[in-house]
Amino acid sequence: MLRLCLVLALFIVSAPRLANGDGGIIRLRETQGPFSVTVFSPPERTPEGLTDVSMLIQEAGTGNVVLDAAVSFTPSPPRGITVGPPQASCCRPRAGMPLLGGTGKRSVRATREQASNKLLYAAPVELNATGNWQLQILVSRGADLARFDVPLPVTANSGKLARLWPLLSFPPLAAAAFALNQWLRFRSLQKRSLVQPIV
Amino acid sequence: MLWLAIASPLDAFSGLLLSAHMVQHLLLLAASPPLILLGAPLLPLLRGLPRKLARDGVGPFLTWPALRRVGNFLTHPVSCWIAMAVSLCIWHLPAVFDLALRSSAWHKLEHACFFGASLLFWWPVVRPFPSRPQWPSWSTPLYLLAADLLNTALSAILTFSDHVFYPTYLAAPRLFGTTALSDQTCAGVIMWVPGSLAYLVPAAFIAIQYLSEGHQLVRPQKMISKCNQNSFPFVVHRAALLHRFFHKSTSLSVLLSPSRRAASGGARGRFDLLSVPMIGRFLRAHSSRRLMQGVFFIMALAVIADGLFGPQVSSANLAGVLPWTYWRAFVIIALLSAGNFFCMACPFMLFRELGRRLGLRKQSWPKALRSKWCAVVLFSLFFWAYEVFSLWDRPIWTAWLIIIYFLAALVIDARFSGASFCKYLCPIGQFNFVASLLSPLEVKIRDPDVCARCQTHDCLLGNERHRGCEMELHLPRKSGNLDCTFCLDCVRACPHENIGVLAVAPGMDIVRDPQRASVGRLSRRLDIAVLALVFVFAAFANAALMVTPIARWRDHMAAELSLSSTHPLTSALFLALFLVLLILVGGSVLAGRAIAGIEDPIRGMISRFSFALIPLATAMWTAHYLFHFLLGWDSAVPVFQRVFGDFGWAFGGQSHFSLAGPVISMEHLWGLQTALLDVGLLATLYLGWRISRVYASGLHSAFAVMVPWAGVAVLLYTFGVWICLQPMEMRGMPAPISY
Repeated sequence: MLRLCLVLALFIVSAPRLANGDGGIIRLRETQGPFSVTVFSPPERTPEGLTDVSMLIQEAGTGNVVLDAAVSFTPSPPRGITVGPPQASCCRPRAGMPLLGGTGKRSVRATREQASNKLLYAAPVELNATGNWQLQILVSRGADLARFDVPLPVTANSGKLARLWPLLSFPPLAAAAFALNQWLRFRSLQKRSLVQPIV
Repeated sequence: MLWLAIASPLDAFSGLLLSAHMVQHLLLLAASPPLILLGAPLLPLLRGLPRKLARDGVGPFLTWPALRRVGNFLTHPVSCWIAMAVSLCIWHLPAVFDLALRSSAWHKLEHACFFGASLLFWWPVVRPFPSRPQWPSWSTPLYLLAADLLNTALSAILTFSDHVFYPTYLAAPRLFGTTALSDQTCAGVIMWVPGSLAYLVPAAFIAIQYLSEGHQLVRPQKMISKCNQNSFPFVVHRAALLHRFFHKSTSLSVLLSPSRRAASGGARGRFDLLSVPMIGRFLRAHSSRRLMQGVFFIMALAVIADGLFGPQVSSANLAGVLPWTYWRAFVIIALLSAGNFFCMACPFMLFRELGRRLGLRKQSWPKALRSKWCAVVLFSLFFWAYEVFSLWDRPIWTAWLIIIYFLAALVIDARFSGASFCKYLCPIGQFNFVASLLSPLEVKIRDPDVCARCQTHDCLLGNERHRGCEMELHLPRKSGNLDCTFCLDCVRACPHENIGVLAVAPGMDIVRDPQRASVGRLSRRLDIAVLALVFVFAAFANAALMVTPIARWRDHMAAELSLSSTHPLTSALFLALFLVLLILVGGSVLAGRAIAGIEDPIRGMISRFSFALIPLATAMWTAHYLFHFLLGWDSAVPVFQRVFGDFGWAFGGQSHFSLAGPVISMEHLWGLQTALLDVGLLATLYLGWRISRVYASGLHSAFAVMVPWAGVAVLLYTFGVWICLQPMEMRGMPAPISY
């Protein structure tokens, strides 16, 4: 019972670290009008996938967290890149990410429901080309409106193989270690057999 | 401490506050490493390993003089101090520190550097058992003071600077009303005061201990010889312990005979599933098998009915979802985690019982067909038909396949005695038999002495209350799971209760080649070897033909050749791939045999090396089936809702073909699939190595035998990884999704 309690306690205190769905690294910290925003996104993005962008909105004066704003993300592709229709994803479309507007740019509504940390607003944004994207964020609450431009550099896709390199390098390393082990064992046994007759 | 540093919420704050980041680094640099080393982890870790692994796996490395020299160099106080100093200085450079803040990979590397360098730094201070001190004790306080000087210099720069060094913190949201500069000052103070204490307190403690009465000056090179119980209580003991531990008498002849365990046969002390309360009782009960078969029979009837009369959309039909998304995944998981439990619950065997009851089973299976060649043909046909006729996408064909299966089982088992259908024909059974060579459980005798005294052989022949093994497996000579359907008839028949479902080393049965009951020697069974190769081939072909690049190439070729259907091309591809595999495996074994100058029969060698590919193939099957299962784990729900809706039962509401989504992200799935293939490849290589040692006594000749064949295994592994990373058709899933 004591062990179970210890494991449970360890699990509970570990839980905050596991809840890393939102956040990532800070992309922008800026104050515009009545809002002060901090934008987070994962440190690594791939052009093929959806990138989770999340944002903390605070009142500029008091620092109180704003929970009732309307937020939209509009990604603009790098210069010279034309973005095609959204790719079908392995993940089914999430609730709360409708396409807005008809300007060719796809806007995504960010909501607190989509964020694991309910103080943040989050939405998956499709960044399907390499280059320097611009993410335009519109925050509105009542008559208050603010616009933020966030540079989001999308580096060349590191590739699935690159992401799997620890797993892919394991077999050759293990095989090499095993070969060395066998060689050492054989050598040691050979030495011993020279000293004493083999049983 | 380590958890606090890298896994607690402190880590989340490190991106916002330099002071939190500094606490994190301090824990990594000055708290967790010395505590870990004070725990003297080497010997407990070694003792925690299985003895054989510690002695034969780790031991040779620990006693390798070259590695010891490297270890001595690395743990020399000068190397350790430099490692720590370089790590500390480089990672505090603004550009590098900022890089770590921007990239999680660099951040992890930074932590790994700090932790690794710190382990080295504290090594000469703590001198964990059973290490040997390289400098005398009086030098340790000086060593710590030198480190403190560096720490003081760095922390002073941070504390007294009038500008922020790390721009990321300027952009970070401010917490607790601090500014970035005050946060940096606070970080500098943390590094300075607690950081210095971490060096100065041990320095003072060691100095006091050194200067205290009774301490003798000992020169390092004479420490071992002059040590006594008071000064170095463990050092002498260490040498004796390690010597005993790693130099346990293992003779060359013992090492060179990999099948030495096969000779001993006992099973006492092993885990026995039948001894587990409730589970054991359930499995022993005669009605339990009937119950499981009944459940599967009802499900088969449901699949047939829906396949014949339901909508002909695989994702909306029980015949499209249950067999191809769920059943295959559960079978492979059961095989790898326990044993051949599907054959135990096989509904097709209910007809054997019917035939027995009707008294029609009078003929024996023809002697000419008493091999696996028929099974090889049917096994190949099954996979060929699956691909060519897209069984996964045609519920009605799936239904007819199950009907034909039932009819075949009825015709064969109603006429022929024994378990002829299972043993010589059933493709599903053959799949399970081959994969179950890797199962961790085996129906096996508990005590060979009891069987030696047994005169009645009820396990094979049966008795008036229970029948014996219909697969003709005489348990004392049974080795491995080949041909075992886990029916447990032998368990019930044995009057001595000497048969259990025992834990065995998965896959090791492939290395051994004893005279097996009913099967004989694997090296002499080319039919079973070809069956294994079909299993290997189908694992890769079945997955390859569903990935988009190959499917597109096939369609393109069909268009180029003006073919109205892709069936001929799929068939040709199927045949070509199998021939390529046969040539590769046969050729590589022949090449290895020629290089090593071995004169053993070719047939036996090819057979045995073919079996060694089973782990890799099973890994591929598992990766493939788990792909479908994990991405479509909830796909049965709307289908059942639809079925209930068809009967007018609003059970669970309207069918809704867009449910919760995959249970795992694609990135994690790729990781899982690659990890499975890694394990499969390593297991295959290990088994291949063990088999090579059977044929080649010398190390070099064993390598020579192994290398060409290992090349084929690596080629298959590479192909498998490539397949897993390609876009795939989602068979039997709610929607034809690609990614």
